[in-house]
Amino acid sequence: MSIRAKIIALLTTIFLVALGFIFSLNVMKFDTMLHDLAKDRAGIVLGEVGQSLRLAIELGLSLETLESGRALREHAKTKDPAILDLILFGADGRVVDSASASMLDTPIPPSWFASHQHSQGEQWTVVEEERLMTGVPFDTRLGIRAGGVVLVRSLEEEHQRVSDAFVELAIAGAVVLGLMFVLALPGCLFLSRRLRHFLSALERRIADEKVSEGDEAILSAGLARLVDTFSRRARQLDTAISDADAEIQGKRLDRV
Amino acid sequence: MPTPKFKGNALTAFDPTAATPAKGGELEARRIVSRLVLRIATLAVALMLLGATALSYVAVRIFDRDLDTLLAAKAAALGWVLSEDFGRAAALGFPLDRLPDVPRFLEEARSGHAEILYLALLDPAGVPIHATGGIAPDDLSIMTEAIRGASADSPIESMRLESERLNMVLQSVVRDGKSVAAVAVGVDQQYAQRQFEEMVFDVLTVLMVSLFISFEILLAILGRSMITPLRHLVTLLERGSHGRFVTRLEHRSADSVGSVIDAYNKVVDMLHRRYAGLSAKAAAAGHAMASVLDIGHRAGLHADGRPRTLPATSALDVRLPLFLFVFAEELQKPFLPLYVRDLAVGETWLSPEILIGLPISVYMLVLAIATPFAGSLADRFGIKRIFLAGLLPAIVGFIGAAAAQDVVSLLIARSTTALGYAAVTIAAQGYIAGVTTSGERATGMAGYVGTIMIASICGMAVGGIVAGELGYRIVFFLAAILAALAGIAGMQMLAAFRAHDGDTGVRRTSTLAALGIVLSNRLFLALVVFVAIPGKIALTGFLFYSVPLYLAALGTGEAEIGRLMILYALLVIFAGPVLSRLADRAGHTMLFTFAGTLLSGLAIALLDGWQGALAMVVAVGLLGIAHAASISPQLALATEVCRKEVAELGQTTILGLLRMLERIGSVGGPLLVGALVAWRGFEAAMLLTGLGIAVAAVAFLLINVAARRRG
Repeated sequence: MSIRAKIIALLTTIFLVALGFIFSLNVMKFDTMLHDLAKDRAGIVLGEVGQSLRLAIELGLSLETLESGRALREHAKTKDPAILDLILFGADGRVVDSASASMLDTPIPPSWFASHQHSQGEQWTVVEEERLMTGVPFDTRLGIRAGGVVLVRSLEEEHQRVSDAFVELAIAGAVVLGLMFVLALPGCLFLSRRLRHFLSALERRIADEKVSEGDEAILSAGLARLVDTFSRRARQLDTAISDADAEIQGKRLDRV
Repeated sequence: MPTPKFKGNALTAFDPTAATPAKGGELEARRIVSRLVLRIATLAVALMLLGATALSYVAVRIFDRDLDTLLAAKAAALGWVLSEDFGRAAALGFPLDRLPDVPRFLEEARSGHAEILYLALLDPAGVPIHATGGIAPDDLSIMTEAIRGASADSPIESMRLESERLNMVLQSVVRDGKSVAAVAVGVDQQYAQRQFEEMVFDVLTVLMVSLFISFEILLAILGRSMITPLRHLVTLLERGSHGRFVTRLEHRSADSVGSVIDAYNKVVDMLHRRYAGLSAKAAAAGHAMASVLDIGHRAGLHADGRPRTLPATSALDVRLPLFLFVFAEELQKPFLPLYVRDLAVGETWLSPEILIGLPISVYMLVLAIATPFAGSLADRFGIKRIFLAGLLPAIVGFIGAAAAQDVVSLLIARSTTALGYAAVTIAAQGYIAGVTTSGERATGMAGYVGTIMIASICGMAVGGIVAGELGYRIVFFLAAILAALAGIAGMQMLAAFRAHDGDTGVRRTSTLAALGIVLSNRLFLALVVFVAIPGKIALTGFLFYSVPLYLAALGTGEAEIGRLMILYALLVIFAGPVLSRLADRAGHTMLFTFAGTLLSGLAIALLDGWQGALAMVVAVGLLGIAHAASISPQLALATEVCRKEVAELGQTTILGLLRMLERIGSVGGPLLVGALVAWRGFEAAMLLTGLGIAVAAVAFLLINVAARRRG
């Protein structure tokens, strides 16, 4: 590979790494923003739903006796269609109400329960695969944890948007990289021109060949003198070997 | 090759010593290549700036489209919640215009939603009753018109309006099926752009890192393919101009440098071949052998026709592998204490403050213990092997740190990485010592230090950004990948040979005996105890341990922490040479060492009375200047006060011992500061640490002044 090709390959790799990093930063930022927006939106809906549930619990109703779960779920879904379920669970973490019948009377997953336990009365969130879980605990007036509610929201739409943006930005990145390459190409050729002439002059001078005037000028007097001395010494040695050879041949003939 | 007629006796006329050496050839070749590297790096930066700007612009355009929709949906949800609340109040008969706490209620509702610039309750005529945030009259009139245009019997349901500044969402407050008021939510039109503008520092950091990386890679690749072979070629040409044609240059490349070297090798090969023929003829003829041998001896030609081969190796070979490895290791710096803090939840066997500092201390301890062993292993098994073997524990350690579930497993992982770090860095130093002549060694070692500093900057900057976006564990996986890349680069670029002792002519002494000799020098002891160790306490106890914890407590992200930490490294790199030159010129190495140590103590103590992110920036900046002023003069002072010991043991040994002893500070720093934080709290800990260092500086000054008075 020629030096020009090496430099161009190198620059392209560096551009690729730098753009790749900037690309990743942008996509990660977008992903974080979408997740944050989904969390905020779920949090707002959960705040409203939780308010009515909290009131009922403070009035002494137990979550197990609540019958408005379905209505609350439907109400929440009108405000955010990505909401998949609204799950009510008791103090022991067992589900008392859910759109999914299979979940009823089963314990909520340990990761949810751990977040619920450590939440200190605030909203908590857990992200698992394509789903965002936002929960809030309920305490009775006596400060006893009565249970909680979890809003399960799909993140499919957010993920789809991120992956669409990823593709669009990747195409844009490829175009930008291509443009950078096109601009770098003549730049590299121009910048490496002096080096090419220098190396060509050096090569020709070492090989004792004729050097063009343009190339000749590029070698400093010091380096030119060094190479000339080298060549002269090499010629002298070559001659010395030839002469010695001739002398040996001559003496051999004399002997004959 | 043309052979001019030789006049005179062939066997005696060839006199190599008569040649005139031409100087400066190597410098010229190096200058042309260096200029090329600089110009290409400039071109790369200019194009990267253009590319980064273009890509970021496109990104904002693409993301803005989606964000608009999602922000409006969120605003609609907020509008709905508020309208429900106001609707309940209205249903109970409360007059909405006379509820005194509504502005506070709206303000609370707006808090935590940075994109919501305006939140209001409007009457049926569209006039604000209560509002929070600012709105332009034009925007307000758009909403007013929309509300007026709607009939009371058909309430507004999440109506979206748009102006240049705001995306607005209107939601009616309903009582008995009729609209009695409206909630207005105004979302910042430029929110997406502003969010991405916050990334500008990240992008600039990426560009800076890309610049450093491109410079390192350019130097490594061009060094390997051009600088090193040309440097060797010029040396061989100089030898040839002295009449010595002993060596051909080993360099396999199809580029123009390869052609130049081929041209040289052809000359050398031809002379050796010709001489081999001559030797054979002389031997067959049975006479004139001594004279032929004389030619060969003077010109360095071999009778077997095979010239010696010089491998094109140089200190530049190790630059890229070392850079990648140190880059990998430094990624964790901006967040390691935060990672330990997360893992330490529920651990009660040690105070949390000390526990958080433990991985840094244990890492430094293992590094200090392993370094001498790594050196002797490199002597025994060869440098390349130890460099590559060292990467294995480092990679295992990185993966272990990524998978750590508690502090103990993290300690084991970091200790394993420390073993690898010791092996890799010692092997890199051994490589430089092995491929450089004694005259080039200082430049080679300066390159080593420069590579470590640049890799450190890049590592901390990238580590902070990646940790902030993807989490701590991913950073350690990334480190493992980079270390593996260092291995690939090392395999390709390093030549295999064994380490040799560069300190020739100097007595070989055991480390323990050497330690005994230097520690009996009171001024050296004072330098170690009052300057070198406190300097490392400031570095590990303050910069590596306290800065990430303090800034994280203020809500600063890992990327910003990384950027602040690289401020220190940048100051040491750029201000260091200037200040050490100043110290040399003024001839006050002791004063600079004292002033630097004193300033580092005061910088830390400053945080007792001044709190906040700005205070931390100033403290880190002052620490950078302080260390820039004292690190190099410290080394000069060590050799100055140990003149006798240097003559006896060698300068390398004295400086090596200084480096070894100062690691007491590296190990103890995080534990000491952690214990102080646990005992008296952060501010008092900073005061005590800073004052301790400042007092040590004064003690160092007094001891030196007293010694000078005594003569």
